[in-house]
Amino acid sequence: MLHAENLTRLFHVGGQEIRALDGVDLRIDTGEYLRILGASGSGKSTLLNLLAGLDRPTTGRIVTPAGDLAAMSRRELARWRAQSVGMVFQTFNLIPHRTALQNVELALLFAGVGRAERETRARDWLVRVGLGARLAHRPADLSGGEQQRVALARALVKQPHLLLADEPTGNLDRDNATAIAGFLSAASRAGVTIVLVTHDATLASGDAHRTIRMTYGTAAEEPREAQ
Amino acid sequence: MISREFLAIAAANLWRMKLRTALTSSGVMVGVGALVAMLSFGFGMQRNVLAEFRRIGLFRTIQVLPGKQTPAGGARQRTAGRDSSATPRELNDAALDTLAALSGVGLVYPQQSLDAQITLRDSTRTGTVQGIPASFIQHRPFGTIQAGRFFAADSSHEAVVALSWAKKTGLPADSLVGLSMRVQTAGSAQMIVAVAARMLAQYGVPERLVTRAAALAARLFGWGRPSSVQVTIVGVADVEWGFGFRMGEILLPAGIAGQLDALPLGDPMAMLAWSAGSAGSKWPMIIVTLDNEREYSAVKSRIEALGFRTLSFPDQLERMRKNFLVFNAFVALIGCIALFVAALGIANTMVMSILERTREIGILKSLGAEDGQVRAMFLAEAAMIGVLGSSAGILLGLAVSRVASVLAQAWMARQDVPKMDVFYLPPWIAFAAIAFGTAISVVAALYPASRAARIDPVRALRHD
Repeated sequence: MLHAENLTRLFHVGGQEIRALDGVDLRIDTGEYLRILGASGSGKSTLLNLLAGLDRPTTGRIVTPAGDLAAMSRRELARWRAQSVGMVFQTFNLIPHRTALQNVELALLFAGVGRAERETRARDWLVRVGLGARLAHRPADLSGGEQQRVALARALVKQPHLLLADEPTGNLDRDNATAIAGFLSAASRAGVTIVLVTHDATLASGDAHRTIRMTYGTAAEEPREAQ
Repeated sequence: MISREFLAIAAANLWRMKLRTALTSSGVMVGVGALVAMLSFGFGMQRNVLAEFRRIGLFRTIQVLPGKQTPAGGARQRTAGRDSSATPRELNDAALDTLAALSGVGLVYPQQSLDAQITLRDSTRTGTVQGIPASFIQHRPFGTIQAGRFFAADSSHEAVVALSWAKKTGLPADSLVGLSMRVQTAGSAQMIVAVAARMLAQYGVPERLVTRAAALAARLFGWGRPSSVQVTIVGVADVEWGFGFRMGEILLPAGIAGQLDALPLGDPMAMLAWSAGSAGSKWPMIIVTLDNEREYSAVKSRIEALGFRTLSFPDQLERMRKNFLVFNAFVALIGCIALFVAALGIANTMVMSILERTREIGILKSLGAEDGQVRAMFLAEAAMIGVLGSSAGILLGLAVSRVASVLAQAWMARQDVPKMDVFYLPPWIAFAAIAFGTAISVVAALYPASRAARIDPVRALRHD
């Protein structure tokens, strides 16, 4: 599905060079559920942004079915995100002035899906995540757990090849976190390739196929028994 | 992305921020309103002037002057294929017949405009006398006759007086019809003497000396005696203007006016023609009217081919149009200043909007929005502000024009000036103003929209 070679990402902050990623090699198979663990600042989110095509590596390459993300134009990267990638964030990142249904529809809009189909599919996914009665509600009218379920529906509605989840339960209570983990697990069973970034070692520990631990910009696969 | 979706998202964003949208749009509204009001004033002026010129027949009239007295070549050469010796260059009866025979020519008559003393009942007052052919009435150069009728024939001792002159007498128009009056001119010799006396006085020669010498000559040789005719007023008409000329206050049949001896001192155009005319001409100028103003160039060429010179208004029309264009451009510039200020407002609104919506831009990009789509979304918002503001600006401009027009008409009525609509907005200007206002709005948003498009999505997603 995807493999990254020798990924390095440097940032320059206040005249200082920050090495967020330092020679990361990564291989993700189709349908795989990969968990990335690590402390804050270990480079997990940076790696996820590179896989999403939101950012570019300083060195290295990320080979996907669509091509090398490091060599793509901004437009090609946007198309990669629109067609192939679904993202879930810790802070939900819903557009506050749009309803739940409209938020989910947006993902299909950029994927080039027609109006009627957009609404049908968005509605369907919101029903699947248990928000069939909250279609017209804006994010401010929803709880944190509900907002994250809208975000999950938005990520999955376009049937992405790759679902990237960055601390999706970081702002949620235990019950909601469990529910979200359940949805991710279901998506994985449905064949979606998932990369889950979390600092919570217990999250999806039973569902993920592999776990990678990141430390100071480097990645190391955890032995099977440690997972 | 489907363009309709862009518009829907842009409209929703604007609707969400109603007050800001209204305030930004009102800037465009004032700019376009000023532009429209200014332009409608410029176009109104142009239309009124041209309509007035058309009404008085300026575009259907050619003034024919005597041909130049060159021994060979020049005007004469233009009459190739004709017997040049037979070419009439002087303004006489033969010239009238020749011009009348030309294709496309309507009425042909000599210009006879004189200043005269008019004696009606016991009072005498000055007036401008115009000699015109009796057939003139068929061409309806002026409005309806207010009282009485037009004179019957060129040799009738009759007159039609202008309504404006009739008012000066203090008598009702109806009561003037049937009255007898005396029209007297000083005589060309006396006029020359008067002018000469005034000129010589500047060099120290007593004016009285010159006039007495002239009076003596008149007594001894009959030179420069006043001439006069007795006529009956048969009609009163609004005849201030006709066929592009100030018609004079007293209209006499051409045959009767021809009996008066005078110089056209009161008519600068005729005086110019007289001073430049050939010695053999009977009149200083002949007026040729056209059946159709579209034949103007063709008829003018035919007349010049005969060896005459022409004076005409349409030649100057193009220059006048250019002047109006400059005037309109100037007033448009004033409107554009207001629109420029509005453009700054739009740019500011867009910059603020982008700052506030940085995170939203990041979300859109994470969902797959391309730079161009983000740019287009903000440009669509600016275009909507432009359309909204410009449309309201058209209404504002029309309202301002309407109010100003009503005030101007009230003022004109007080000043006894004929009523006219000072403002006029051609429909295409309304559409052009909307397009212009929208274009300005989009241009103002180009930089902010490009900034929005270039936003780094990772930073944008972290933005509070």
